[in-house]
Amino acid sequence: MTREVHIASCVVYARPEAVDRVSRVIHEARLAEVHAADHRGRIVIVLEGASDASIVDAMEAIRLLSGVLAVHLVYQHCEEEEALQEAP
Amino acid sequence: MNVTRRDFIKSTAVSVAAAAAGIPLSEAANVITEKEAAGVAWHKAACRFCGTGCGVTVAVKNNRIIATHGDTQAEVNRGLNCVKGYFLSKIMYGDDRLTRPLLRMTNGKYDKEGAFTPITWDQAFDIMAEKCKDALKKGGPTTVGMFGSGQWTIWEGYAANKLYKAGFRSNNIDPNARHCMASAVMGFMRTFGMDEPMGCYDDFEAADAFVLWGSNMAEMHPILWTRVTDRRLSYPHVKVAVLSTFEHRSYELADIPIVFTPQSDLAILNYIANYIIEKGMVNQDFVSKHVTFKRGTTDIGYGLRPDHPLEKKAKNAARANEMTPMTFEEFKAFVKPYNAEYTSKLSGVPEDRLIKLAELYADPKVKVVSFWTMGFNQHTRGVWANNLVYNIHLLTGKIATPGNSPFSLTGQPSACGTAREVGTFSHRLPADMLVANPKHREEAEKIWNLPEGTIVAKPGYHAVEQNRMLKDGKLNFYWVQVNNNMQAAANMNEEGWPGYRNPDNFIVVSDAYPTVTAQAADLVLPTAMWVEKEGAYGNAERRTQFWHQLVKAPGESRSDLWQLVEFSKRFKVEEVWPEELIGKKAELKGKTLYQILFTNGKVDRFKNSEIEAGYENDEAKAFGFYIQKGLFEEYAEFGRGHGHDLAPFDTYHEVRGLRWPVVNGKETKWRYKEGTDPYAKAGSGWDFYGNPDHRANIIALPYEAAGESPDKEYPYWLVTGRVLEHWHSGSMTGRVPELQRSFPNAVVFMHPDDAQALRVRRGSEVRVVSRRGEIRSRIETRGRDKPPRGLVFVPWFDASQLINKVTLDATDPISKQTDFKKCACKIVPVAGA
Repeated sequence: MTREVHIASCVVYARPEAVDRVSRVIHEARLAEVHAADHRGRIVIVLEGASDASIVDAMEAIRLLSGVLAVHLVYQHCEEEEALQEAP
Repeated sequence: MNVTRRDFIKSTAVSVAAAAAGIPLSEAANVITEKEAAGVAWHKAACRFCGTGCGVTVAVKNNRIIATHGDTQAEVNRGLNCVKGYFLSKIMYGDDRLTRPLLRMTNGKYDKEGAFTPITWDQAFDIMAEKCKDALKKGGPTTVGMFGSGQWTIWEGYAANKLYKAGFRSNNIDPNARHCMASAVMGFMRTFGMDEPMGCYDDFEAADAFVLWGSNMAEMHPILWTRVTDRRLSYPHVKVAVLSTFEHRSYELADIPIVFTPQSDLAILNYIANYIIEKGMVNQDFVSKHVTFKRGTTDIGYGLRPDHPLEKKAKNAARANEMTPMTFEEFKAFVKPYNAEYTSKLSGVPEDRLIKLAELYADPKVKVVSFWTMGFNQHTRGVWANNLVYNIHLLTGKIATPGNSPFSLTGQPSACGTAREVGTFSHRLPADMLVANPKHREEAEKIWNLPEGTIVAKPGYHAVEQNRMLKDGKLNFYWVQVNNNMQAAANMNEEGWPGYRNPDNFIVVSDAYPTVTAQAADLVLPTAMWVEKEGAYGNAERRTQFWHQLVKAPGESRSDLWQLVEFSKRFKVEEVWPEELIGKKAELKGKTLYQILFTNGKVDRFKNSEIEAGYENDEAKAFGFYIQKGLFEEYAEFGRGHGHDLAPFDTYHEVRGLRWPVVNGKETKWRYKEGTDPYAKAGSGWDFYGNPDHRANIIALPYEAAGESPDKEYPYWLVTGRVLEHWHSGSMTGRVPELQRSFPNAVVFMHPDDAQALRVRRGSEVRVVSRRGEIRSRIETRGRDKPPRGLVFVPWFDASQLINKVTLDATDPISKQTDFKKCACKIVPVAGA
């Protein structure tokens, strides 16, 4: 069976004072790639994994971090790995 | 550098998320336009799940959805989706998707006790028509019925409503929205004479305070909750009050957290009204011009079977919906007993918190939005709770202006658009009209071009009554579409299951998956879902949204619309209508219901060439005309010109939805307010034109006890509800096996001290037992839901733990909506577990 690749991006809503700490934890625990954050409490992350479960588990793990108010999905993509090796 | 498709997709993912978050990215210049993103075609759709109505952008490759993202152009969600959005591209691809009609058979013949066997669509319609005609012949129109849904698309609900109420002349059609929104509907009708909220989501950014009355928005309406969160965190003066019978995720943002004893919300609402009056904070000008005071009927029973002791005891069950006039002074005296001391004692809420809550409403400078969902609606006094919250908004004039909004949220994607606006309830017709009203029947018969007397005046069986009538053998041909009612309806042991399996009955279930309900059926029809068909939904803020068919349904699956309309071809009018009725319109003689209802010169008046280029439309292809457009335009005739105006069909394919009434191309954000609602008369200020006197009703209603409360033998309150990861009964979300892991099985949420007293701990196996049935589950003392002592919470998504064997089918006597939030149970440890 060909391997599937799951890619998702989310906006994490954190309490403004917790943004730096939450971003750091997400990065250090390798829960997701942190791409941007702002002082209002929003953090842009990208998740990649081999299954739906790994993505959703990571989202749940981030949601349970203290200072996090919500994790919202923005983009989700699922395709066979081979197709993803091609040029865009 | 060698850029792969993967890099490309990741950069798209980042840029779309950054746009949704409102964060500028340095590489934003490189952002590809949406059309090219990921090298596939993108299309707009509305989310398949809840009543929020988020816009979603969908990517299709080789007839399969490979990606979705929140629609950045959608005003509702502005690019965001909740975790349920993750399921959108997967719900259609579960391993156990049904692809052929299945009939219970033994030796090649239908047998109620037989095994499910694949048959053709022709065979399926043969047996359906035979059973339906048998029932009609033996017992007349009241023996046939249908249970539909707030997940039907608008035209599916409309076609079903027309087929049953006009074709079969049976009003026994009801949606599962009965379990969800019926109390809200009756609340609106009694106070305003017109259904659905006056405000809209724009209220969120204008409010100074939010009060959640029995709604866990953080988990159930996450996108709306984020708009509340944003407002609260960006403006420090903003306050959030959260009320529920147990603590949940929404409490994390609460400035005023309140956990109250079940049913005492009625007292708290009256306390606030009393507080406003006592403190002299009534908006006298508003009240004198725009309000009428009424006294509601009390002691109205619990909507149980008539022979139930509680029903025999109730004095006014038969006239539950009646009201009589009263004065302001009388109203003032009526709410006077609800002082802080009495209310605190009844509710268990400290007096100082009650005062803080009341002050939000009383302070004329604070703009308040009140939210509620199932906490109010699934309540044996749910209609009252709705009326009582309107009372406090009306006493203070905090209504129908930006930020001042009593806001009834909905659970299903088209509870408003289909169930309510199309009027698929057993007592309704489109646009708030009623079968019992002769003028309304006349209007419907005129639009449908049918002889006078076609529509029957007597309301049909509502949802709960349908299960009772199935059990009693009075409802014999029964068709269920887009819902899982065997799992959803209360008291399945005593009513639902015996009803479906009654040998006198033939049960048809249309679904995409073998749900608990499908498995209880005699015939299962494989059904197309979401973007496998052209569709339309209406969300909680009156927004109507359309999408195109984007992929083909698998195997022999067909949409509910095709099934309904195709089935109508099987009936000659002579087989369903009495001769006398046909005699009133001789040209109908010899015609089929299909010809009379669907090729009537209206529904079939748009050609398939009008379908937007590049999109499939399997139903239009099958029938030879643009059936969705024809149905929508005929339906829209009901509402245009009197406050329910919808835009022309094609407009909705271009825009991200519009909030009705849409007049001269303009949507309406705040109804009943001069200046924002074209129907509010000039010089009126506010105009509650749903009522003949153009005033809203403040209705005096007391606290009354629940249908069943804990006692010595059954000492716990049992509350049921949802969790974020699973939507309703889990028939779609449960289909992605790995995703189940984040919340695989239902548990019994319990206070740690109660667990200790029972000598059980987290993970222990227990029996949840009521007077009606029991399930086995496991104790959870930690986590997101924290009940107070004496109360347990059990989610209902888990088909392996059917909590509705335990719940009571007590309903609100006015709305007939079941109270899934209150019954008595005991928790029994399983020995050795």
